[in-house]
Amino acid sequence: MNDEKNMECVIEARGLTKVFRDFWGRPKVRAVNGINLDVRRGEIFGLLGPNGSGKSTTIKMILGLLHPTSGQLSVLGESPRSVSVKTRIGFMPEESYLYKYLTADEILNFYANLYGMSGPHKIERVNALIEQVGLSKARDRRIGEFSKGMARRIGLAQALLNDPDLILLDEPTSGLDPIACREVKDLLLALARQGKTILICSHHLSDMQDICSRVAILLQGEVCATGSVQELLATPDTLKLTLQAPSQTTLTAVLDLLERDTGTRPQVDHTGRTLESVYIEKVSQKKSASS
Amino acid sequence: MPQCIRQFWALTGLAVTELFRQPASFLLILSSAACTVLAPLALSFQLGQETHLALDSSLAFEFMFGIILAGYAACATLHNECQSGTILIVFSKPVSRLMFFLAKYLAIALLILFFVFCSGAASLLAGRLSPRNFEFDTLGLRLLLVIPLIAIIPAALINYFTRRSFIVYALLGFSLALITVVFTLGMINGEGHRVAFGSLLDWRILPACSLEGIALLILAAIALSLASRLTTPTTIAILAVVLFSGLISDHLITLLPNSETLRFGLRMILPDIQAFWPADRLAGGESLSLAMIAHAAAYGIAYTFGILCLGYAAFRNRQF
Repeated sequence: MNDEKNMECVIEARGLTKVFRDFWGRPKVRAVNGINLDVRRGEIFGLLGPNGSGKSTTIKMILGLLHPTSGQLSVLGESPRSVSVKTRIGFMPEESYLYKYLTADEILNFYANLYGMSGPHKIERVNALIEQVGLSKARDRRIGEFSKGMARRIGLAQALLNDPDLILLDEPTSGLDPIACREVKDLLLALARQGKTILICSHHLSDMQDICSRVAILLQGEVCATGSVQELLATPDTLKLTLQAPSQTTLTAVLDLLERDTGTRPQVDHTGRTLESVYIEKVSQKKSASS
Repeated sequence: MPQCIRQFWALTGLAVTELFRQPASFLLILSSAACTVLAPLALSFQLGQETHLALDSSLAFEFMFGIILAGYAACATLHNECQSGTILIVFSKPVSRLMFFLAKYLAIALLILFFVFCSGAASLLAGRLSPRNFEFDTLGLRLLLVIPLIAIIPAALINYFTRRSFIVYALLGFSLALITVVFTLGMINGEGHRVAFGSLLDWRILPACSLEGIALLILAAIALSLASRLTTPTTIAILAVVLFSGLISDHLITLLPNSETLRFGLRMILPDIQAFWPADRLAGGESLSLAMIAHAAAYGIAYTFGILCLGYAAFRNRQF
């Protein structure tokens, strides 16, 4: 626990508040209300919450696109409005906000130019990312002709162009098929192992549970729960026991024993596979058979 | 190449590509040239006026279509970027808002200069083809029909075979066709006989168009400053008000109380569009002197700089 506290904070927010005002300057909506956040280096941090809970507003403040009404916010030790800090940040927004008349190749080259990349380094990086997000065959197609999932992949590629230290992802798996979704989650876990810090907003709770080390749950602009996923999911007086199915006699004896000890009869069920694992297995089998 | 220069060219290049791919840009430039060339024919037929109608209407059309194009381009490149959300990704990169704003202005300025170039060529044609004593230059009118064909057919073929932008190639073809017809008609008279090059063209129209081009660059700066918050119709409406107020700014100043401060203030706020409206001088048979153009250009640069500073101050704190 002490180690966790000593880890460097990449994002530090104290009393962060954002109030949207109307034309006359009167308060209209308090989108974020005095939240405190510490996102540490190398962790995958999830921001959860229903629509309108303030997740995207928080991300926009971290990017310097919105200015906090009050409170303090530091990103990688600098003000989020600093231009230089953006060289170390990658951002993938909720929607695929991309120039639809450009091809995948052109758009990545454009963003690479904004990072000041040039020459063979730029070409290598663009090629590697197009390969990584599985768009090699579509690199010369216009973004406007892409499916939502393909546009999300190119959105992810542009967020990783500069090999950022901090990656902000708003609904990264939205619109992706289960295999692509698994690939993205694996990629994010690999990036976290390399020491990258990742902040994700998502409604897909199972995805967040799979990859996040810590989460904060936002509700009406306030943090209503925060902590590691394990801490939040744990129910201290309940255990889950997984074992090879014993004989019926043994099972009955064990259940009787446990019932005498706890006062309630334990529930017995077969361990089920997830639909995701079945889908990935079947599609992979079909693909390998056809190739 | 330093990073900031690379960023600036990338942003400008993208904005230019975006603007030159807009069907509305092509239609406005084409409509302006068509109105410029064809209006004197209709007016002369109705009123029996001389060629100065061609000059007057050319300059009027350049202003009219110019403000629509400036307002549209500013909103297409800045307001739409804010609305569509593409600006979120751009500002998540290490791009300063000043650089972004200036790159957008440069792109709009390039589109306006292209428009002025086409308007200048169309105005030369209008002067050359306007009827004398109700007699039309039928050879010249036939040559005009070639322009849309040269503009559209190659662009359509390029689009069909290579899937490249139809609009960009149509604009390129249109400008080349326009210049070709100007050169051709500059060398022959209405009967098809060879004459000294340019002897039948009223070259005074070119500096007049350039002067209006400077005014359009000022209006483009105003449009860009408004476009971060306002939509296209509102921006164009405000530009029209600024244009007409600027044209009568001398008269408006006389209406003010006899206060130097008030008059100076209005001079600062309203662009002196009259300095860019040469129709009266041309109608009087005068040519525009280099000194007059240089004076107007200096005023235009100073005014544009001031407007861009104000526009950037508003854009710098814009939240997305």
